[in-house]
Amino acid sequence: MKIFVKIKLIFLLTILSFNVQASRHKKDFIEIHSHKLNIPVSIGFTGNTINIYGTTNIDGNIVVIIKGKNIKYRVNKQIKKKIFWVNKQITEIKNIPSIYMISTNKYVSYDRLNNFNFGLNSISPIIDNDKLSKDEKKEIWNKVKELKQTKGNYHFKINHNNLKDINSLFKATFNLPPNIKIGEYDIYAFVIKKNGDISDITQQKIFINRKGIIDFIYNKARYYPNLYGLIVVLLSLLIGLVSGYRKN
Amino acid sequence: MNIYLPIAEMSMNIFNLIGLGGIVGFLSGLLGVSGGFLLTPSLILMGIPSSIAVASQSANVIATSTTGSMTHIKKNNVDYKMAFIVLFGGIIGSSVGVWVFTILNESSQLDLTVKILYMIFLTVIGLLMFWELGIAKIRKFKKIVVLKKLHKHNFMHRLPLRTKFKKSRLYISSLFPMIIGMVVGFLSALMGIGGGFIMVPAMIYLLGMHTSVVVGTTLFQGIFVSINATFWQASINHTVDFLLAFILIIGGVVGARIGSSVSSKLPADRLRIILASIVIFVSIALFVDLIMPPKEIYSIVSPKGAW
Repeated sequence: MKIFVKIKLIFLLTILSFNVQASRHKKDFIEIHSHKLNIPVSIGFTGNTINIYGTTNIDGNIVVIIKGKNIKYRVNKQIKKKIFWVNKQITEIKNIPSIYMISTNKYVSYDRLNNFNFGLNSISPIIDNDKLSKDEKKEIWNKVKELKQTKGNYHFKINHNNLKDINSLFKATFNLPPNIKIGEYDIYAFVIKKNGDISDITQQKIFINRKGIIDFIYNKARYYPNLYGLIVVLLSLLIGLVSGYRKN
Repeated sequence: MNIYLPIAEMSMNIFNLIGLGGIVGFLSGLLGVSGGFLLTPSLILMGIPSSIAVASQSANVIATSTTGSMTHIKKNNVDYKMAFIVLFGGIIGSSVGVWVFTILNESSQLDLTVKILYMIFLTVIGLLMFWELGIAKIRKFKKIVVLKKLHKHNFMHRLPLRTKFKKSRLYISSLFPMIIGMVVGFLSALMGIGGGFIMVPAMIYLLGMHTSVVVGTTLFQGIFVSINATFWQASINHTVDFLLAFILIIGGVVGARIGSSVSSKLPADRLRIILASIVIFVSIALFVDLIMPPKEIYSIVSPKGAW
């Protein structure tokens, strides 16, 4: 298995090297390839590591970003009522990405990224609750960011060694958490040039899909709930009958 | 070794789950008690969301009730007429229970409700077990023999719809068993239990049924009540994780076999004390969980599950 991965990596790097050769005539360029385009969530899934390989001839700060689709969440707050801590649903927060991970090879401030419409500060969450003040909304968004970072969904690796660049080739490594949502993810890469401008943004998509029994159970439970309920009931009955038969 | 649970959308150690199912199965095989009341709170304390733990446990109850009732059907220990009347109430109760479950889940209050219900019931069960053990010890020590009356006549005998239950040797109103079925069905759906620990004493002490048919009748009607609860949980709430239920069933079956094979070799009284202690311990753990300040005041939930 490891041999296949190595062959795949050599193949990717070869393609990238050819791209470097072919692009020498181009003025500025940046290209990326993910070593996995489809990441299966199967029965033993505990998260996954994804390597993004890239090439560029631009001198500057390389930025690689993985972004999930925007979704909405319910925000709950625990409040103490008498002796018990009770959940209170305070609002819904919309328009925030399920995953947001950044890797750069040199330090770049969040404000700088924000100028290019990237980074967590560039996200504009929608909190439809008139009872909440502006400060409260800001506090909620900050808490959500904190929670997402704790769960490994939002990640900044500013000036981190997870993005390595050697000459014109670079590699960014991201750890996808086990609670990752199924679907399409966008990978963006660009270079912040020394003069402060940014290069063209190159983009690639990766897909997180359920596989095997996980896919079967999830799809049946979500899209055919009556059939799924029936199957669960029949299988449970069958196990009970077989077990009871053997017992008797 | 971890396993990804497709509905809970989280990874769990498979040996922990099999072990939990096995321990509860072992206790049920050893002492003849259904371990549902221990399994669901243990799953919650392990970090599985209440909604998934409760609904998946309902599927587990189908299997355990079927296995258990087969022995009683063979021994002719089931009062079918009583079972169907209790079941009628149970179907209504469990359907209402699933509806309440949905409301509580949507308003993020399910976790609290389930924990409080378990805390109350486990405390009561644990204390009753200790009480029963204590009384038995005193009677044994003082050599007191208690002669039981068949049953006392009470308000049930004045209620309408009186029916003869030949197997149970009763002539009582059908309304009361139906109400008991309704209450237990409601709690089954909300707590993911078979309800034996409520139904059995209710049938013995309130209805005056003969103990020989009580367990069989309870298990028999429990199959259909849990089928109803599981089906609606899967259909309305999408919270039944069959993979989780399957692992628990497998662990439970193996544990129950080992438990029943060693039951004659171990001192039953001491084991009952251990079980009562476990029940009280889980209840205290739930209480502590409810009163301790949470590590994080805020939490976020995706309406479609997962993060």
